[in-house]
Parts: sequence; C-alpha cells; structure tokens
Amino acid sequence: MKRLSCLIACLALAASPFSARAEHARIDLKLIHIDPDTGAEGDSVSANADREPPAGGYNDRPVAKVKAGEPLELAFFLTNTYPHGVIKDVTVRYYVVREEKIGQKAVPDLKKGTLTEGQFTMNFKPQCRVGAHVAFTVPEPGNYLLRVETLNTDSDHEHFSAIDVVADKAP
Amino acid sequence: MPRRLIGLAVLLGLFVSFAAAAEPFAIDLEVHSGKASKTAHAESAAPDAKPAERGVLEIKAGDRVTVQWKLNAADKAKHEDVTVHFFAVKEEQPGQPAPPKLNKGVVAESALTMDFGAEAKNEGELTFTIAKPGSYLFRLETIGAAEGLDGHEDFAAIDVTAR
Repeated sequence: MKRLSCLIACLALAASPFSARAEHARIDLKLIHIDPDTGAEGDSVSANADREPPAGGYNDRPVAKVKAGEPLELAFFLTNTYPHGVIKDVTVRYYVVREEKIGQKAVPDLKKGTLTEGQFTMNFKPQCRVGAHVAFTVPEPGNYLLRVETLNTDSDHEHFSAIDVVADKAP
Repeated sequence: MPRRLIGLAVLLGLFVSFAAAAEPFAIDLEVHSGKASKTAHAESAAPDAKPAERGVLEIKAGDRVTVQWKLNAADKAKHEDVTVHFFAVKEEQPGQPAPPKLNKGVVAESALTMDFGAEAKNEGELTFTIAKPGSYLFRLETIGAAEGLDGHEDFAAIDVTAR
C-alpha cells in the first residue's frame, strides 16, 4: 500500500467529524507552482468555499501570478457538510478557462475551450469527500479562472471556490 | 466450420459475461485523444489474479487526452464508503506489472468516497495534457471494497504512450 498517495491519505480524513456549518460544502482549492527540475511543490495560492447566487459569490477571489509555460498544479478537496441524508447524482466540476478580466462575476463560456477540466458525478452522503490534483501549464499570457463547483445538489444554491490566475510572459 | 466458430464465439461470450459478472464492480474506462481511443473493463486486483494485457493508446506529447469512466456495483450488493481512485502516472515501460509509486510523475489523480448499491453509480471525466514524452499508466481502482474472505478490489487500466 506504499503506492497510495497523499490524496488518498487526505481523503481518509473524511472520517473525522468536522463541525457542520450552515454551508453545505467545505472546499480547499489551491494553485501550486511546481519546480520544473525537481517536480517539487513550491508556493501556492489558496481559496475557500463561496456560494451562488449571487453570480460570482460573496467573496473577492484571490489572485495567483504565474508565468506562461511554467509547470503548475491545481488541487482541491471538497467535503460535503450537508448532514441530512444522501443527495443523488451530484456533479463536482473543475476547470481552468480564459477570462476577460480579473474578478469578473460571470463564468466564461466553457464551450470555447478550457486549459484543463474534469467532473465527477456521484452520490453525496454526509461527510463524503472528493479531491483531485492535475498538472497543467498556461500556454499564453492572459487572465484565467480556476474554479471548482457543485452542480445538481437539489438546493437553492451551489458552492464553488475560485482563483484568478494572471499569467505574465515567460522571461 | 462456421458453425464451430459460432459455437466458439457463443461459448467465449458466455465465458466473458461470466467473468465480468464475477467482479463485484463493473468498470468502463475509456481514454481518448483526437480520434484514437482505448477502453478497459473491470479486473480483479486480488494478489493471485493474473492481470490482462493492457491496451496501449499512442498520442503525441502536448496533445489533450480525456479519460472517462463509469463504475457501479455489478453484484448489486451494498458497499459502503468505497474510494474510487484514478491516477495517470509516468511508468518505466508499457505493461509493467506493478503500478509506479505516486510520489512523482503524477499527471492527474482523483479520489472520491461514496456508497454503492443496486442503483448507485459514479462517473468521471478528466481532460488534461501530457506534456512530456514517455509511457503513462492510467488506472481506475476501488479501495475499501474488499469484503469477506473472497473479497478483493477491482481496477481497470490502460497504458498511454506519448511520443
């Protein structure tokens, strides 16, 4: 079992009872700089859970500054803190997509293309978790949105976490 | 001769169906890049099980690759708190028996926990880029599903060679 990763170890922490807040999800989202030579994790920018509506949520998004072409990694854990039974066929989706400007409230059209994306459809039981980490690079300078979000939670709101990524020209 | 072939095909079909039904989980794993794709299905991860030869998908380094899966309890029994674990990791060579450690060379990894039963299913779809040439193992596996003396985990795996 040495092969099992840090991701699985963190997932096992789901058994620990966390205090249930009024929110239905706890999200830890990170954008991590990766050393191109060693692959080691470097500095990171983090964001926590927000909710929609209103569009774009309540909180300002943190901003990560990167260089075009540098190795990056997105990583998130989402814990379902809704304590009242199973919610079927929930989707958890993440993506990195180009945006017009930092802090814009509207989510860009994903059909126009993403740098990386993924989604999971699953039943949410109390305290269940889902997480992922994915390597990627931003090929061109510009503004990008890194976001993870819930869909289809049978609620009047959904949860998300997001980071704005400003990519400068590579030196 | 055709009759024999048909009979053999029927027998083979029955055998494949039986073998598939013997696994507690059904897995459909597909990896595609452009028009090329490979699929794999559930196998036993029991220590004495002989793994099937993995399919190899050839892509160009820098191309986008998409992995999709569906996983559900084939035996319809209740399995609680099962972890569904996916990873894409660089490996020494295609077909190597032991999966690499996940402390380096991981391009993408995900994990989630849920209960499985008669109707519960998990679906996943990840799209990412493999930047560097090499051989990569794409594997989806259950963790925590083994129950009883005959219990074992299931997995499905595909090799991806980036040139």
